[in-house]
Amino acid sequence: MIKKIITIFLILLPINSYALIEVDITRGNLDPLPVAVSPLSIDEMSRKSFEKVLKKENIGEEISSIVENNLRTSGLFNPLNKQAFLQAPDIANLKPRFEDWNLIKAQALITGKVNYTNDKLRVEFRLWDVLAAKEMMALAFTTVPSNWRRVGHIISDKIYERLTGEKGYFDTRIIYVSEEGPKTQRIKKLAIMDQDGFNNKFLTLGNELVLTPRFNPASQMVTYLSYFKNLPRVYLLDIETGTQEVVGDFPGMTFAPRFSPNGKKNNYEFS
Amino acid sequence: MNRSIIISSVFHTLLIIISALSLPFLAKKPLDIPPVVSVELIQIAEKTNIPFAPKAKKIIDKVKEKEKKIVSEQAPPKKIKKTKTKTVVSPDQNIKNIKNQTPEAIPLPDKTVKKIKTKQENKQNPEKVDKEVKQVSEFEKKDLFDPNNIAALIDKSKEESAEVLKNNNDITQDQERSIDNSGLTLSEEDALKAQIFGCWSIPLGLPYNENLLVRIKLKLKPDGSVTKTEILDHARMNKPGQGFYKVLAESALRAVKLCQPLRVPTTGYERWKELQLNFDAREMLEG
Repeated sequence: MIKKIITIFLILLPINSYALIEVDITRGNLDPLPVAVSPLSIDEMSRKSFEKVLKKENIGEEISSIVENNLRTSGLFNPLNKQAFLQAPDIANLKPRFEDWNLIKAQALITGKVNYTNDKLRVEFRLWDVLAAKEMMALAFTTVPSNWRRVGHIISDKIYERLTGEKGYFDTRIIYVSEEGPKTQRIKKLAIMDQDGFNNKFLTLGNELVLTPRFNPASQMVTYLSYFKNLPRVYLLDIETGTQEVVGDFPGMTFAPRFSPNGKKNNYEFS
Repeated sequence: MNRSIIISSVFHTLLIIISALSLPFLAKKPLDIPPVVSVELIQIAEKTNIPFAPKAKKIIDKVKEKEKKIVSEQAPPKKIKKTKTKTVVSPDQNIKNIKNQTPEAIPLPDKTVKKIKTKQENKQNPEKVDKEVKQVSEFEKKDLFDPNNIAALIDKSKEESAEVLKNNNDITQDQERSIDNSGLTLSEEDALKAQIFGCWSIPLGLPYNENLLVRIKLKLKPDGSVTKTEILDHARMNKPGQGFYKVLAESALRAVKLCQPLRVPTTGYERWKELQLNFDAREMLEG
C-alpha cells in the first residue's frame, strides 16, 4: 500500500523539465542529389532471350543507363559513376548494404531486376533511401520487349516524382518540324521523337510545307497546318494509327490551330 | 467498512496534498519563453567587454566639452594677469620717474604716496579678481572636471559598469533556470544551423504557395549523434494533395542523418538532449 502511494507520489513529482529548443532551418543547398543507379540485374536465360529479340547484349544495363541519363539531364540529380559501386546488382536488389552506398556518398539508390517471361518484358525496380536505410518505392512493369525504352522513361518519371515532389516529364515525346535541304528548296517534315532524342519518326513525307504542330492534351493527336495544292489547311493526325484528316473545308486559308484544354475541340482561324 | 473508508479518505487527502504540491510546480514550468535577447548580450559582454566602450566614449566626450568651456573661462583672467603685471611695473616706473624727477623738482611726497597707493589699489584689485577667477575655475575643475582624473573617471565608470554587470550576473544567476530554458546561445545555434544548411538539399519540385514547414524532433546523444527522429506533423504526410510534404519531410530527415554527429555545444547536455528543427523551404524557394 505504502509502496503504491510512494510510486504515485513519485510519478506526480514535479520534474524539472527544459523547454524544447527550436532551431529554424531556412536555408539549404540546391546541389544535385547524388544518386546511385545500379544496373538492373538479369539472369542468364532472360539475357539470352532478350539478346535474340532486341539485339541488345544486356537489357538491364541499357534500361538503367536510360534512367541514369534522364536523371542527369534533369539537372536535379547527380548519378554516381558505376565503377565506384561496391555491391553487385543482383545482391543490391535484394537487400542493399547501405553502408557501402553511404560510403560513396549516395543518398538514393535504384536497384532492379529484368525478367523474360511469356515473351514479355518484366521490369521491377526499387528506390532506396540510403541514409534512412529503407525502401522508398517499389514498382514492376510488364510490357512487350520492344517497349523497353519507354519502361526506362516511366521508371525515371516515378523516381523523379518521388524524390522531387514534381511530376516527371521523361515519358513524353516531342513533335517538331524537321528541316533539311538547301535554303531555296527546303524540305519540311513533321517528326516525333522521345524527349531524349531517340525513336525519331517522320509523320509526313515532306512534299508539302508543314507548320505549327500542336499536341492534344492526351498527346495522341496532333493538329498542324499543311499546304495542300497551295492552300493552307488545318489537319488532324492520329499518331498511333497515322490517319490524317482535314478539319473543315472553308474558302480562303485556315491556320494557327490549337486544341481546347479538354482536347475535344480544335480552334483555328480562317480568312 | 470502516477500514475502507479510512483507506479511501487517506488516499483522497494524499491525492489532494500531492496535487497541491505538484500542480503549482507543473504550472510554473516555463514552456513558451520567448528567446531572451538581453541574456545573450550579457554573455557576449562578459567575453568581449564591448559595453565599456560607449560609456567611456561618452565620458571622454563630456570631458572634452568641459575642457573647452573651462578654457574659455580661463581666458579673461589671463588678460587681467597681463594688465596686472603692467600695473605692477608701472608704479615702480612711476617711482623711478618720481625719483628721477626729485633732483629737478621739489618732491611732493603726498602725491607720490597717493599715486602709489592708488596704483597699489589698482594692483590689488586685479589680484583679487584673479584670485577669485582662479578660485572659481579651480572650484569648477574640482566639481566638474579635472584632466588628471579622466582615467579615474573612466575607471569609476568601469567600476560602475562592472557593478552593473555584477548585478546583472546576480540576476542571471537567480534566473538560471530561465536562461537554461532560453536555449542555445546565438553562436551555438549558428554553428548548428550552418552545419544543417550544408546538408539539406531542398527538393525543387515543391509548390511555392503551400506551407513548406517540416518540424522534426530529435533526441541526441552527448556526442551529437541522433538516436531518434520524429516528424511532428506526421498526419499531414498521408493527406491527399500533400504528397510534396512527404518528399520535403524525407529531405529534412536525410539532412539530419547526413549531418550526424551534429555540432552541439560541449556543455549543457540536459538543455539540448531534445531538439526541434523547423525546416522551412519557402524562403529558399521564393528567393
